[in-house]
Amino acid sequence: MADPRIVVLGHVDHGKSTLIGRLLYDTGSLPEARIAEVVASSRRRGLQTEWSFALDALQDERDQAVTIDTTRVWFTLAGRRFAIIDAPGHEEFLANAMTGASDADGAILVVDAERGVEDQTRRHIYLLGLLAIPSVIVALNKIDAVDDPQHVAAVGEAARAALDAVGVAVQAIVPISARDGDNVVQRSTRTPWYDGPTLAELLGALAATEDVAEREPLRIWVQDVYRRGEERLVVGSVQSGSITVGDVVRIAPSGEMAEVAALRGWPTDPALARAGDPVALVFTTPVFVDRGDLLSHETDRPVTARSLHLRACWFDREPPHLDETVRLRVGSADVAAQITAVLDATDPRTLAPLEHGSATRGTVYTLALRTAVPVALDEGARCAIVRRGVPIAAAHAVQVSAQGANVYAASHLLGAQERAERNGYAGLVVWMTGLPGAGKTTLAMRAERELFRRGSNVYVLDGDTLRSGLSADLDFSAEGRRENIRRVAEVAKLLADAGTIVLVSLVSPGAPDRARARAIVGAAFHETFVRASLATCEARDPKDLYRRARAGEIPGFTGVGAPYDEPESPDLLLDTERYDIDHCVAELVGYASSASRIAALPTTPARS
Amino acid sequence: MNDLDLDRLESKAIAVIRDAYRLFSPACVLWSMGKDSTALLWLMRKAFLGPVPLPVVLLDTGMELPEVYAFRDRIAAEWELDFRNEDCPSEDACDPSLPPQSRAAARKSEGLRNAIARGGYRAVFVGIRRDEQATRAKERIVSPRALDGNWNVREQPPEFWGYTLSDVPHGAHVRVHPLLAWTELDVWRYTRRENIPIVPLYLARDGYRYRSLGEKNITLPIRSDAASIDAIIAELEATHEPERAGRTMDQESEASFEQLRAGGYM
Repeated sequence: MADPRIVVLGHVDHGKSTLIGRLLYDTGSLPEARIAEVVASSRRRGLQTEWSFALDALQDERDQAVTIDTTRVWFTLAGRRFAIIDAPGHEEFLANAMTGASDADGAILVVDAERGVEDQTRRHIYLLGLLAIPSVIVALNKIDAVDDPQHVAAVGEAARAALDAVGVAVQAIVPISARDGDNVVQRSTRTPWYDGPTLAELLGALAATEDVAEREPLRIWVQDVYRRGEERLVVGSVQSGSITVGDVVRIAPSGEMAEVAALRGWPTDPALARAGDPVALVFTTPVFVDRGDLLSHETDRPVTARSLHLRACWFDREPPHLDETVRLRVGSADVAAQITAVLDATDPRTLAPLEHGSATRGTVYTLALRTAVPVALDEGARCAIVRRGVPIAAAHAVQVSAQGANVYAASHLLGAQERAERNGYAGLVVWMTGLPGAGKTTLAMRAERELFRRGSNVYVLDGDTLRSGLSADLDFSAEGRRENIRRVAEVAKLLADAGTIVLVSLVSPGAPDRARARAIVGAAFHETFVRASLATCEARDPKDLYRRARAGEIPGFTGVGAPYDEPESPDLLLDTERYDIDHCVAELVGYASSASRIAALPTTPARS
Repeated sequence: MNDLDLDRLESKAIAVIRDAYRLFSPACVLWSMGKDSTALLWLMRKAFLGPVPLPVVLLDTGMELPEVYAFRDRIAAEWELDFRNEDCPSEDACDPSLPPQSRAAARKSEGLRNAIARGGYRAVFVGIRRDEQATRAKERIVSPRALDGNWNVREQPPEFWGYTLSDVPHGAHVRVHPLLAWTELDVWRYTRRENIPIVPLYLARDGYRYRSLGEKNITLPIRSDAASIDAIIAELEATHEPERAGRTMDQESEASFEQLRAGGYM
């Protein structure tokens, strides 16, 4: 296993920083210049050697003699290098404690042997339960100041009981003096009543947290998609399980499947990627995948949810509000979510319920959330609640309801084929993609008129029109665009099923987006490329959008600030640069009517 | 310390680089040609599978040693970097209350401010490490800077389970520190394992070598016979001298480095 990381927690002034300074000094891990600095700083302030100064580097911290923030240092013991994480004690810095503790392999809880378990101790004990840190040692500090062994034992048992209450098993309880070094590395002569191991011995024997992640089901959070030459590389890191060439993965939340054609790496390609490894995957087919997607194998897949319950340790001054919209981060997914209920609030000091409104930072809430779009996750997943880009609560998903678990698609007694036979033509979707200004809407509106004149049911789904109604709640982020395209595709499918010829006029710049729309609509999908060069579209600029995009007023405008993927083999190509409008309309009408008539022909049973 | 630990550090650094590159655009990376920022560029080549897709900026005071400039020209060409030399303003433009040895650093802070203003960068990747200097130990992996580029050590965003700050106000930027959890020894062991090129001044010649590379007027070589990376690693395993002992600017006052950092230094 990799070298262990230990977090040191405890109430303010119980001696965390002093203990760390002492460990560094006794294990010979402190540079001589730093020792001299500590001695000089202590002397200047009229103190005896104060080992916490080794950590408390900031000038103002020294003057106030408290630790502000988490600090990482290292010491070597029994041939292993330990990373020590010092978490601050005072309440307002709980978020910093979390920052320090979240990736620890073990913890030392420092408790003043005289004063015992105090508020901050309880809070940190709760944090230990929330973090599920595998190994916890209780260090009863300042035994140089306590004469009564029975009092020390009682304090130890109180700490054990508090840890038990949040499900944390104590590895050992050791009486120490960080200031004088008793039972840290050197065995103490002050504690004849204690015959257990020293703190250093306990750390040395720290149970190696065996890396089991590799044997768990495959999970890869997609971080980004890179283009390298002709290849699209889906990059992320393997959270658990392993993956290799030929594996078929499921992309959640869309549910699409894709086969791994290659694993890329630099300078060489790996044959296999395991838990912890970064990956860059190439799929055999173009599929829609982007940041926030979760890859798994087909079996042992994550849940796709829109409603979930979170147990959240709240760091922000501002408590959670009912109906508030926050961001929910799970892995690389980052989605808008509404707080639909504040189910309970727990005071981490007493573990007693709190009235909502009386809560302070560090309160643990159970919240019900509803996400704006489906999100893939596992029960127990570690999440963050985010306000204004800042993670303000660390949360576990305690209850996840599969999306659509209570939704059953009704079966029609009437099929599309019967409708087509009566109408004499079948509904279909002509998906018209192209740069802004290429002429999509102009052609679609003219063709709609002409097909209607010929007796067909026809309808244009126009991107701008839909944006003002069906998709008025969506923005132009990648997430918003993707959801917009999904909605348009679903509506188009319904209309086509009902027997309508649907002309979709939508920029839909991404090839994977269109592949996804095709997957939703199925065989009735006809990709149509309305082609005109960027220069021509920009010269036309019917809505003054290119000029504004060039002026920086419209970020991410297709063709200017964002790429357009030209369809590689569209079902129909309409070149509005080479041909005039009448020619293109005639071609579109001809294509749509013949495709809808062919689709209406009864299928021969022999084919199936 | 073992190879698994280097793997873990490398994987986390790559994850940080990929996340921040996606979340904060446009971004640039600072390169001083030292071992840390060169290792950072190496990690970026791994993260992006070859080419480094963002501008690589040197905050140039014109005072680097000649061997350092030679290394810059060689690596920028070999690695096909989008290299930008940012000439730092003269000392006159800097805070006169700073001790003289810290003014070169203050010049770099000014140079960085200019580079950010010109490039409109929302993220600046920097190869600092927690163990280098006590004040840096307080840093975050993704650390926000106010509109004036200043660092507020008291109001830092929480970071846990790999979740970091994911947005900053318009006009502000973040510093991204993928090597924050690395030690000096980690960097050398990684440099050895990956065979990453280094400025030859790190290796001992005539009984002296540079342990840390700063400007020629404010950085002194240390007494050493370590003429290979193996020897450097052996030397570091035995030493108790702080890494930046040769950097005179850190020694002037216990608060000088903190003052520099609050003013935007790396």
